[in-house]
Formats: sequence, structure tokens, C-alpha cells
Amino acid sequence: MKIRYLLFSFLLITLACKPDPKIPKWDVEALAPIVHSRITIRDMVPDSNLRVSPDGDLSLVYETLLAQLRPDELFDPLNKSFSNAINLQNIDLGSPTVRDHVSLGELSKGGTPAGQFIIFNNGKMAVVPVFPPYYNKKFGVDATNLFTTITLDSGAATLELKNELPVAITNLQFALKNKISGSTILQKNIDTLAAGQLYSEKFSLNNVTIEGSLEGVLLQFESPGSDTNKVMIDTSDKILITVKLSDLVPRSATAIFPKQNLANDTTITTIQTGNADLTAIKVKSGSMYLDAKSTIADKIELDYFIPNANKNGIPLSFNESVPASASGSLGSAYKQIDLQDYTIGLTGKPTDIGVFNSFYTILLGRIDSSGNLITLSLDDSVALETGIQNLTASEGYGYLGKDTMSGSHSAVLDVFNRGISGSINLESISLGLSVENYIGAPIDIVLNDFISKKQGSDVSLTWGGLGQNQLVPAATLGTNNKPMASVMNLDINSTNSNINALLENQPDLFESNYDAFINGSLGTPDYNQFIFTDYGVDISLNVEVPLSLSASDFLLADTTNFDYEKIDADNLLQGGDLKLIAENFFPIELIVDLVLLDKNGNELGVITSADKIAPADVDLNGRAIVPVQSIADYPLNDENIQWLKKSTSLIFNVSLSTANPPQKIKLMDRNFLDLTLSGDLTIRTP
Amino acid sequence: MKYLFSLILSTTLLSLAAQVEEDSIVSEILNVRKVRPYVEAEYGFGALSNRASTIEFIDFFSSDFLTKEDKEELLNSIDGTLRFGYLGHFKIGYYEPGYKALDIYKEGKGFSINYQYYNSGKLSPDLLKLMLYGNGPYANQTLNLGNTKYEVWNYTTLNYHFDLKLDSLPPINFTVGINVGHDYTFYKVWKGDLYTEQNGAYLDMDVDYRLRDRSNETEVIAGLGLNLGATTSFDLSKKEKLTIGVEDFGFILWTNGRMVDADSTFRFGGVDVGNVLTVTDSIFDAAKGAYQDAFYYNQSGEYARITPFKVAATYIKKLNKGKLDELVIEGQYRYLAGYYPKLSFGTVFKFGRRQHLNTALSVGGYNIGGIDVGYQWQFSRLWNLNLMVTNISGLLIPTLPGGAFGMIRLSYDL
Repeated sequence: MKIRYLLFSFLLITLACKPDPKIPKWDVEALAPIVHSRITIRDMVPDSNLRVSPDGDLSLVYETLLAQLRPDELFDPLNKSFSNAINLQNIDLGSPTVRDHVSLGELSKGGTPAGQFIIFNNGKMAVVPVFPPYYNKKFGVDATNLFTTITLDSGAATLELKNELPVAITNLQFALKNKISGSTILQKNIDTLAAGQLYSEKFSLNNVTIEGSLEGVLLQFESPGSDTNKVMIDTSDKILITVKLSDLVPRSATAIFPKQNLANDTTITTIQTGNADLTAIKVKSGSMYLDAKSTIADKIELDYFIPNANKNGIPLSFNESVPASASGSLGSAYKQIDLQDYTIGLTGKPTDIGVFNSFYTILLGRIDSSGNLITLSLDDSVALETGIQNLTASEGYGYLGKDTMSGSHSAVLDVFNRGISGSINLESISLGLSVENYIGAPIDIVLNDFISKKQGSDVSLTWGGLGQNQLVPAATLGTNNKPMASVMNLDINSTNSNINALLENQPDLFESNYDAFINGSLGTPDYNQFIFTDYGVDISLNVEVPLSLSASDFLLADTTNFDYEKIDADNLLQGGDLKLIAENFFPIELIVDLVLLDKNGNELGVITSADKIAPADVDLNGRAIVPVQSIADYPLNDENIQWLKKSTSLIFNVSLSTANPPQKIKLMDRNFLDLTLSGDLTIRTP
Repeated sequence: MKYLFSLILSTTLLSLAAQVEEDSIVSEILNVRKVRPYVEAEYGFGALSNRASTIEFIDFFSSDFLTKEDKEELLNSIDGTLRFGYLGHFKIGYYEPGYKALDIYKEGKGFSINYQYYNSGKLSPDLLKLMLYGNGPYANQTLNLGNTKYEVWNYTTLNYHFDLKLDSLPPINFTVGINVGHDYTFYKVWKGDLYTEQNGAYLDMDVDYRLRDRSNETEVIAGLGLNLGATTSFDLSKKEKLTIGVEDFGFILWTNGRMVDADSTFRFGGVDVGNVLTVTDSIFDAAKGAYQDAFYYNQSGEYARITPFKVAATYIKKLNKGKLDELVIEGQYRYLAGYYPKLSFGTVFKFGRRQHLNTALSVGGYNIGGIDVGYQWQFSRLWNLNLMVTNISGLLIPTLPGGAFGMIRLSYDL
């Protein structure tokens, strides 16, 4: 460890004693290029704003969206709800039918001589003796496979008795009773029921309770026998008993309910669209919902649909099952369907004529028989609520009605925003207002005012078309169901207006004021119109300025932040000159000054040159033909350098003057300005 | 420009001249074989040059600022390629010398720590002008900056010395060691034509150069490497002996290195800043960065460099004519920028048993020619003092080109 410390100490000592020579300082004269740049017209104006003629002359093309009109919502968001209820009265119990019989063998039991004779001669031809009266012969009638109990407000029961015995029956007294309660449902006396005869009679059942376990009672019957005729004795021969219930209006029931429709409701919904008569809409947003709550102990099926709505050719419908209630809890179901992009016809039901702005919905409710015994009472019901929520449209079809839109719009013009002072004289200028109508209805546009605005200097357009209706035809629908705009152009040029004055004002922005009338001059409603909320009316400003101009001391300025310490942290600069070496192929003379500002924005000083960047030589048409080299010296004395050190931002002031103003020069695509900034600087060695 | 300034700085070392003489013929002669172990400390410092005089060195390094007159005076006296060496070293060591006893050679051994600093170069006249005046005064002219080399070494070597005796061959004294680098700079310009347009619109350059530097300041350990050395002597006759050897041969792998290799002809017209109309604050940063990239370091990483080794051959003939004791002829070369092979002719005078005076005439090295002087004194029986001055003529007549280098060594027998 000691050796390591010793070694380390030695290294430190030797490094500390390094015989570094002390180097004096001196000044050197450095002459070298610093930065270089080639400027073309395309560096000043985006390519999209330039148009080049075949002979190379340039035009400044400026297009901006002046105004963009979009239709309001076609109608206020639509919210509708509908309530419905299904209860016991709506339920069809069907016509439960109970069939039973009593055989000759059963009648023969009991040990009577006639009975014993018949049993003895079963299967033989014999003369059947007279049956003495029988009393209170009972047999069961089982309907529990159809219902347990039904308590009726009203109803009917049809009793059928068919004698299939080989002998007639006389003095027949028949009763149908609830087996458990013993109450009589119906009773009938029949004098004679011949062999093979069918008896049928319908009985009213008001305020009656019918049990599924019934009892048929032959209170009395006799038979005269077969007289002297021999008949085939067959103990399996029967008296058939049929009880058919019908027209049941139950108060309560425990029954197997047959498959049936419980509800079939059609509802009309109307949309408020002002004075428009819409035949269809495309849904932008919104939903349809169904909310059901049931006390019925059986599953309820619900179908809900809008017959005139479809999406991609598929109609709008849906099914929802309401589960059976159980143990006192409600069976409930809720379903919501997004209606976005559905097209809904608004001409009402198929049979309707002259109906607009309306659509209808259908709700169906049904029971698909489960085969189970279900108990229902008057207190049981299915509560239904259906509705439309926040329905809005993105497209509307049909007659759009009459509407007016007015507005003022401003469009910022950044072409001249670097200009500070001086004058510029342009040649011919054309300005176009292009109105593109994407609405499927004719529109009358009225341009009320058009102003070139610059602080302290506004110039209003003078043009014969101001305040006049300009009809823009209706748009058409393309093959992809997109609106294809109809276009109307307003030509404003140097000969029919004062447009030159508006541009030579070097405006910061243009301000316009207009009215637009939908179906303004249309007499008869046209139901083939359409409107899309994403499309409306676009008004564009198109300016074409041939770059043929003259300018005198037209001053451009640009400001940038500056930190001297970044480029000369050790303060090595002692003085010298900056040289701006230019190869100018623009027919424009430039004077460049550098304004130095402190952190408060106060001017510290201006570094100027006595030299100008001379314009290129030009021909008689004002086109540059020979580039000209110029050198502008910018002396850096002590004061300048102190300014530089204190400055936090720089303003480059560039004064432009065309060659021989007011003679106009022409700017061409081939024009360029090569700039090299070189330093002839006295620098102190570090 | 920063590069140029760096070169300017380095040229200041012109004034410093000197080098390599620390192991000159004089010191070799003064070495006295000992059989007892000893400890030794040695310090050397000086500056040598082919063009700059001692007084110019002193003036240069004592000034805070060079006026135009100072620069003119300096440039007038340096009318050709300037070679210089500014060097210093400090060494301590413990040695057990080998010796023969009863025809049996007892191998010697030892260890030492040697700190070395070399600042050397060879600069073309035009480069000197460029460094002192800048390129402004030479607009519309072509400056030839080629045939220039500049190198700075700053490192410490931890050495172990041992003798190896093989059969009948004379013993060979080997040195193995570890080089610990602290700092390094290397510029070499094979070709460097610079033309400056009259207004500074562009610079035309035809260059072939290599730069190696480090991105950090001096560090305790900025690089590591190995060091080797070997020396042996042959008895040519009873009175003649030839000693040959190589020392400080090795390398250092430098970390945090910066590198440029350029071989091209190009015109520099300034940093193209694109659309100057959209000038922003960042354009100044971009221009500065691009300017540095154009001329300065464009790579970084590790690189290895061969250390400034020395090879030497010394012929000694015993004369024993009165006080004239020996005749010495030596040739040597050290691998440093601007250093030429050096040849010396010298004598050793003996004054009594304990004092020797050495003189030599030499050509080469960093000087064109010069006189070297050495003195050895053994005192208090166990102490040895060695003094040596390379190119003492540069001290005696300080206006003559050459500079001087001095060394002192003190040892104590254990």
C-alpha cells in the first residue's frame, strides 16, 4: 500500500512540475470565409406560390381560403322515448282441451247382475239386458299437463259426450267438478244418448276457477239394453268425454302458455328541420335503445326495428330476450344500438304520401312457449321503454328549404409581412374569388365588402360586382356519394377594379363580408337536394402577381437572437472588417445593415457599410442578364465589438431598390444571389 | 483558426530548442562503473533549436505580448525551417550494477521512475509566418505549410533494469517498464498549400496531414503502454570499447483521443448555411460547429503511438596521455519531431582521481553544431555529482542560434 501511495505521489509531483512553457499572446490577421449562402427566389417564396412562364418570368401565385361556410346541424339532436306494458289480459291462454272416457267394463263393475252378465259375455254376441239406474259413478279428468288452476273473469267450456257403447244410455246426469275443491264447473242431464250418438254443448264460465285435476261424475245413468237384439259385447267400449275451454279471460292462471305475440306497436317519430322537407338522413351520431322489466315468470322475446333504416343494405333490427322473473326479482334487459352511419328514410310508412321528416319504429313482444307451467296474475306485466337518443345527421337528403348565412372573415397575408417601409409598384395583378359550393342546392353569394388592411392604412375594393347576387349552382353527387362542388369564379383585375392599390398597400390581411342564400332564387321545391355537414361553401382568394415591379428603398427586416459569447467565448476578436461578398444576379440593389439590440430591445448601434450590393445588369425588358459582384465592408471597431458583446438580438435590415426605378424589372427563375461573409479579423491568440 | 492557433502555441516552443542531449556522449563517459548499489536522482531541462537563440528563447517566454516588432525580429532571425526541442525529465532510481569478479559476472539489477516531457517540432517558414501574422497579410499568395511536424509527449515510465549474461557474449543490460501517459499531441503536415483569396471569399487548400490529440486536459493516467531498452558493450581491444543500445522503445495507447487524417484538395468558401433568409440564432452555432468540423477533429477514440526512443552507438578509446584520458565518438538518434541524427567527437580529461571534464564537438540533433561540456566529481567517497551542458556555446554567446540543455545527476553509493 505504501508503494502505491509513493507512486501516486510521485506522479502528482511530476505532473505538477511539468515544464509547460509560458506562451505570450499576439495578434494575427485572419482572412477567411465564414458563411456562404445562395439565395434564389424560391428561398423567398415557396414553390407552391410561384408560377414560371415559358420564357422564365415569374409570377407570384397566392391562394388562401378566405371563408369556409359549414352548415349547422341539420336539426337539433333528437331524443324520443316511448313506454309500453304487456299484462295478463294480453296473454292468450289458448283453448285447452281435456279428453277422457269411461268404459263399459268400468260401468259393469259393482256386482250388479247386468254388470256380471256383461263381464261374463265379454267378446260374445249376446242380448244386453236392461241396466238399472246407476248412481254417482266418478272418474278422473286430468288437465294438469295444460294448467294447474285458471281463475276466469269469463270464458266458455264445450262439453262433448259420445256414446260408443253398443246400447243407448238414458237419464244421463253428468257433472264436471274440480277434484280438489269439489266445486262444480258444469252439470248436464241428458234423457237419451243413443249408441254412437255425440252430444255437444257450450257452457259459459264466468268467475269460475278451474283446476287442472278435474273429476267427471255420472250422477245417474240407465240403459234399456239391446232389447232382443244380440250385440257384440266389448267391455272396452267407452263413453268419450271431452271438455274444451275457450274464450278465456283469466284473472290469474297457472298454465302452460302457448307461443303468442304480446305486443305489436308502431310509433311515428318526427324530426324538426325548420322549413326543410327531408326524405332521408345519414346518422352522424345517436342510438336506439330498449329497456324492459318483467314480473312474468317466463321469458319474453322482444323485437325492435326501424323498417326504413339500413346500413350497407342491412335493415336495422334487433332482438332482446327478457328473462323470466324469479323469486320476486324482476327479469330485466337493456340494449342499445349505435345508429351511426345508418341511413334512415323520413317519408313515413310505406303507405304514406307527402310525408317528410318522419320515420317509424316497430316493437314486437312474444312468448315462445317453454312448456312449463307459469303462474300469472293481473299484477304481472312487462314494462317496456324504447327510444332514440341524441340523434344527429351528417347528411340530409330532400328539399333543404331556404336559409341565409352571413359572415365576415379575415385572411392573413404573409407575403408582405417583412416589409417595413418603402414603396413597391407592381404591374398587372389579377385577383380571383373562387366560390365552391358543396351543397346540393343553388346558393346566391353576395360579396358586400373586401378590404386590404394594414395598420393605419386600409384600402377598400372598388368593383362593380360588390353587393350583387352571384349564383352558384348546386353541387352534384359523385359516384362515391361525395359532393362534387360547383364552382363560380369572380375575376377582379387591374382593369375592372382598384386591385393594384389593394396589393401595393402591402396588406397584413384581407377582410371580407358576404351573405349566402340557400335556395335563394329557387321557386319550386326540389326534393333531390342534399347537404353534408362536413361540406359547405368554400370561398378562396387567388392572387396572381407577375413579378414585374419597381421598388425604391423597400425595407425588409428580420430579427434573430444572438449570443456573442457562443462564437467568441474568450474574447479573442480585436477588430477588423466583415466583408459581404455578393454575386448578384437579381436586378435588385441591396443595402444591408445590422442593428444590434440589447436584452431590453434597445438599439445599441448599427453596423453599416458604405457599400451597396449592386444589381445585376439588365436588358431593356428589365431582365437580369449578367451577374455583378460587389463587396460591402463592415468595419468592426472597438465600439462595434462592444455592441456585439452586449447584444442579445440582431435585426437584419435589407433595403431593396430595383435597377433604374420606376422602370420595372422582371424576376426570373434563374435569378440568384450568392453571398459569402468573410472575416478580415484581428484575433488575439488564446 | 483554432488549429492554427494550436500550431502557433506550439511554435512558441521553437524558442525552447534542445533535447536529447541528456544522454549525450559526455554523460556516457562520466558513467563510472560501481560495484556497490547506489541511489540516483537526475534532472534535465532545456531548449535547443537550429534557428532560435537562447536570448530569443528568453525574450519569447518572458514576454506577455508580442508586438508587431517582436514578431518581425523573431521572424527575421528564423529565416528557414525551424527545428526545436523543449524538454525536461526527472528520474530517480536504485541500482545494483553488475560486475565481474574472478571472471564470473555478477548480473546487476535496479529500478527507476522516469518522468519525461518533450515538446518538439519542425516548422516550415510559411507556417511560422502564418502563425505569427495570420493569413491576412498573405492574401492572394500561396503559403507552403508542408514538411511540418509537431509533437508533445508527457509521460512517466516505471522501469525495471536487469543484466543478462549469455555464454561468452558481453552482458546485456535490459530495461522493461510500463509507460503511463499523461498528455499527447501530434501534428504532421506532409503537404499543406494554402491560398487565400484577396477578399477572403475562399481558401484553396491542397493538404495531406495527420492530427492526433486528446480531448481531455493532462491526466494522471491518460494512456498506458510498455517500454523496452537494451544496452551492451564490446571490448574491441584493451583500450577500445564500443557501446550500443536502444532505450525508451515502446508505445502508449492513448484514450479519449481525437484524430484527423486528411489528404485532399478543396476550396473552402465558408459554411453553407442554406437559406440565410430564415436566419436563426442556431445558425451561428451551426456555422461555428461546421467550421470546426471542416478543419479540426472529426474522429475520436483510442490510438497508439511509438514513444520517442533513442538509439546510440559510442566508441571509446583509452588514451592515458597525461590528463587526456579518453577519446569518444558517438552517434545517436532520438525519434522526435525535428530531431536529426547527431554525431559527436569528444575527449575526457582526468583531474586527479575524482574529477573528470568532458568536451565534445557535435553536429545534428536540434542544432546545426555545438560544443557540449560535462563535469564529474566524486566527493565524500560515496557521492557522485555529474553536470552536463549540451551546446554550451548557446549560453556563452546567447545571440547565436542553438539554445542549451542542462542536466544534473547526483548519486550515492550504499
